[in-house]
Amino acid sequence: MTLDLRQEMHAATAELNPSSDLVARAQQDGRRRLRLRRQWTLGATVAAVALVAFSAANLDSMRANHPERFAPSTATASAIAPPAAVLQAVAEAKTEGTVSGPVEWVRTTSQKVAALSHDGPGSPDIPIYAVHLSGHFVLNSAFVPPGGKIPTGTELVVFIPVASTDQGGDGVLLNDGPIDLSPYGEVHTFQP
Amino acid sequence: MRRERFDEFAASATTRLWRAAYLLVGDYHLAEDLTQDVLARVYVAWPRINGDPYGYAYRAMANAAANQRRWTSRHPEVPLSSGTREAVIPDAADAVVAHAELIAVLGQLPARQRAVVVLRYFLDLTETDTADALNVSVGTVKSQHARAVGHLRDLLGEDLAALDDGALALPSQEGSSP
Repeated sequence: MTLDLRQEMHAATAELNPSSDLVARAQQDGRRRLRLRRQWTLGATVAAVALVAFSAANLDSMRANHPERFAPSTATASAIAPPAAVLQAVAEAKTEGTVSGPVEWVRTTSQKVAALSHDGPGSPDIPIYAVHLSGHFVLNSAFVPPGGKIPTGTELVVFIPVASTDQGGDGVLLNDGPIDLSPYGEVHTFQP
Repeated sequence: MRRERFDEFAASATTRLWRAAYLLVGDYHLAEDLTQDVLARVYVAWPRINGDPYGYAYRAMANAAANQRRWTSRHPEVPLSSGTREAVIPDAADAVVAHAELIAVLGQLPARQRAVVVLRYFLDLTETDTADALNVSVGTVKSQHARAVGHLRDLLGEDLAALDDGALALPSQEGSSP
């Protein structure tokens, strides 16, 4: 005796239909998520600009008070200076929690980190930065279903496209376990 | 352009996605929530989806259903009264009752086995596509499929004949799906 499971499952759901406004609600939900994402990005940009402005304003006084720190160095640079986009990501992360310890970042591609970032299958392969921060983070801006908890974690990885395009590549991964970026490229470290 | 193409996709995929969600979670309202979540994810990711949006949606559906299952197991709900589901969808009540056994049996399968069964038999995905949607290897899909079929045989037992149209046996080979 055999069971036509395919036919049974189709028959079991043939008379059932979703609400007529399901697509409209999903679109509304999708627009809200996009709006939240833009607000998050805008807020982070404002924070980064403020940080740069604050640093520039204090640069002269720091130079006057600590001339030795600004003397030309004879040592070879041991680390690559983090790109502005990485610094911006750190500034964004600080709005979602506290950062402790050094920040790691790699230049890689969206497909290389697809397994880590749980990105969708249709994403184009574009250069991105993956920035790993440790501390305590609360993603207040994340979408949470009714009754759900706001995501929290101690390890945050922020994915940002190297170039400003609309091809995606951005994302956030929040975890409580250790995260190793070394499989995805050369890891650079700096103190935030 | 973006809006129209998504509208076309949503119009053609929503019912199928919702029915798959219903088979995955066994509850009308949870299936609605799940489908809305999946469609919203596809909406947000639409500019990045260069290939098949169905594949993206199926993967999102599998992940969301697994999350939903974990959430439900940690936060079990106490029904307000029996028969609520039938009361809110009266037109479908007969169908729900007629196939309640199948839904109940599916509900007894572990989450991944249930997902394999729904993706393979309801959504007609190949083993490779099922593995991609569940983010597991093809070997895992095969083993989960075999266990699911075994479980179904154990659970249905004598009732196999009652459900059986004698059409075909459970396929397990790659390419057997249309």
